[in-house]
Amino acid sequence: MTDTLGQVPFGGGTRNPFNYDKFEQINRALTTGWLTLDEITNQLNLFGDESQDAYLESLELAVRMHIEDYLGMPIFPVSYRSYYGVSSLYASPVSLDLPQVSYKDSYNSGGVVINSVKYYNNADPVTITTLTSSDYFYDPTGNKIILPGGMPQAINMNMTSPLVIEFTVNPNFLQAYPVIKQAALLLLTHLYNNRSETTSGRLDNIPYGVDALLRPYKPLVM
Amino acid sequence: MAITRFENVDVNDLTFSTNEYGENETVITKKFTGRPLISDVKNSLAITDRYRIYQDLIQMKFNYTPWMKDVVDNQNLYSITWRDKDWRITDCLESNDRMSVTLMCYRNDPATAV
Repeated sequence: MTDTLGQVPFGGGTRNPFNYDKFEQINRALTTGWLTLDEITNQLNLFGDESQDAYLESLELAVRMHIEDYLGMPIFPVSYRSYYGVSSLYASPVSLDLPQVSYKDSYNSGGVVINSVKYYNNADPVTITTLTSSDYFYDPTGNKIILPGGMPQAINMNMTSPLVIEFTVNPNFLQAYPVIKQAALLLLTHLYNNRSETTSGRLDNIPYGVDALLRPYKPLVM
Repeated sequence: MAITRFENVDVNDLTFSTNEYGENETVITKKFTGRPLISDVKNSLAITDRYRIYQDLIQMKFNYTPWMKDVVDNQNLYSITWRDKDWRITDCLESNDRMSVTLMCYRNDPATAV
């Protein structure tokens, strides 16, 4: 029996169980601080020494981005653009999987904001057309965009991925957890103390370090 | 026996002047609060004819920062306040990897009568 797990209906053999062709990060907070300078200078025993604040802030940004990437959890909003091929569009209603999972929590943070749903039309030359927001809705139970009216009539059938969704994933409330901040401070201390990629001696991880603190919050992706 | 711990200290700027009587005056102004690793606390007391001479020497290991580099370069222009006493810097040791600065600080208190 052929293993069809991971195949998109009407699509070719792929290990991607979702029906987007590709996605890309299109916007991310690159300058907003997360850990405060007070938290950082206390951790590093610098206290009132402010002479390195700019360096510490740049280090903090790298640490924050690493934690976001490690957990797959935005601490500040991250925007994506995902592409869908016509093979995803034959079903009715059309449902389009979003690649990033987020949920509204009881603190009313988190969740996904759909910025636009667009498609390349079959005019000559091809232009990109934006669907009105009444043509689609976000299904939080399946983390999908549903087009109840089906595929747009004038969609370009010759292009690889003519349907494009832009969306923003909001910060998750986990980012306020003290344990996650502590992991960030540990990582920041490591980067502060080790400015070079190479060492003459062997470095060992401490027990209950960054990985141990963050692991329970890393979602299992099946 | 030497003990090691992080403690808050004040790093002070020193400015020197001469007053109208020709006496030297030193003004101590706090620059920032730091938290070095303090070790090798060593107190010694010598009793001379008229005075108790306290000669205390400690080591303070700070993280290397631009301000600490200036302390290394101009050690005569800085003092440390630790345990409410004024400590002057006798030696600055900058680590080869530029990650820390160790200050040897000295307190001399010659004014206590026997």
